[in-house]
Amino acid sequence: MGIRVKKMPNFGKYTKRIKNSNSNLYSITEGVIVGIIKRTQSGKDKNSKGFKPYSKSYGKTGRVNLTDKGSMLQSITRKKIKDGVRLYFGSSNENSKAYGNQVTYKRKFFGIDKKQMKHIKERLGNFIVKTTK
Amino acid sequence: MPTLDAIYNQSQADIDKFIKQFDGEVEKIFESVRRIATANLAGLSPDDVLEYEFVWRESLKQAGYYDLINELIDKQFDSIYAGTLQAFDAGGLATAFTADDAVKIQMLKQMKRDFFIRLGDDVGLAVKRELYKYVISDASVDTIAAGIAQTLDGSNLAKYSQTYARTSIQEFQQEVIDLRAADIDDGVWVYVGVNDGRTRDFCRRVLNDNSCYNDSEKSRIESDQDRAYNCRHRFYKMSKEEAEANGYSC
Repeated sequence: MGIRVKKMPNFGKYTKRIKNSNSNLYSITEGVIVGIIKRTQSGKDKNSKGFKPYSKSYGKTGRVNLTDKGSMLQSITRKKIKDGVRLYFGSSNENSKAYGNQVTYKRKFFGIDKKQMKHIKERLGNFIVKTTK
Repeated sequence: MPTLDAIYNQSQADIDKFIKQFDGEVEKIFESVRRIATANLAGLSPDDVLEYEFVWRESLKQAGYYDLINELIDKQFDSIYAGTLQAFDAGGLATAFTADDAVKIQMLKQMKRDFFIRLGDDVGLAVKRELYKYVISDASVDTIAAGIAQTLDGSNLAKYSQTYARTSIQEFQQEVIDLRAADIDDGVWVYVGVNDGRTRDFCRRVLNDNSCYNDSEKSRIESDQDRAYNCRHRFYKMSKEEAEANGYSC
């Protein structure tokens, strides 16, 4: 014997707020993407440390910012998944470059730093508070 | 009696001028084709391959490609020959043409027309093929540029192949970002990208402004001629909170 639900709950004012959650989530994600690009191009990894220098064979000197034509960092994109949003590289070419930097050369650019984490927590916290008021 | 060669040489300057104009026109047209096609293709997933042909033809039509062929080739090219014939006619030499010469002239015109149409088709196919590669199989920018250059080898457009390839990718990436921006209800645009020795003065000024922009400001900056080719910067949309957290002044 089960319980029959005869009446749908009226979410009222919460409906719009719930709808806005995706918009907020996407905005936060775009902010994270831009943060990664800006931080990397300033020569800092996710731990605020400088990157390992380019090899001599690469033939590039100066600040290591993982940017030549800019297409690798600009190809970072996002996808909604069940429990949130996934960031990834939208092109396998750029993904290979990113893997080379992140894993092979241990230039940890692709990640969330402390400042970003703090901002995400604040934003999500505020959003939850506003939504449930 | 003027020979066909003499007539051809007589009009060669006009033909050269026309070819130069054609090159300029076709470049403009293909700029539009590329812009429209990348915008349209960005909205398709790799699973929608069958849609590409339709989208491409629509892009060609919208960009005025067919009008270019019809107007520039048919009208202008014909008018050069018409002018030449009139000049000879005015000099009392029109009667010197034989029926055989008239056929040869028509054939010559047709050959020229075919050449230009083929050139236009080749450029279109090259851009299309390389864009497909990028969208579907992730060709590298060098592969894209090499593919375009190979197809255009011998034409004035070859030297632009690298720029075509890079600008195609740039616009494709911006279109993807713009599609993502549609998910964000209220937001501002920020200008993102490297600021180094290779950055153009225009982009450097926008980057140094460090501002937030609305839709119309974004469009204005985006389409500024000083920014057009090979630009390494993109616009991203987000709420003011995110923009300010990233150091922008809104």
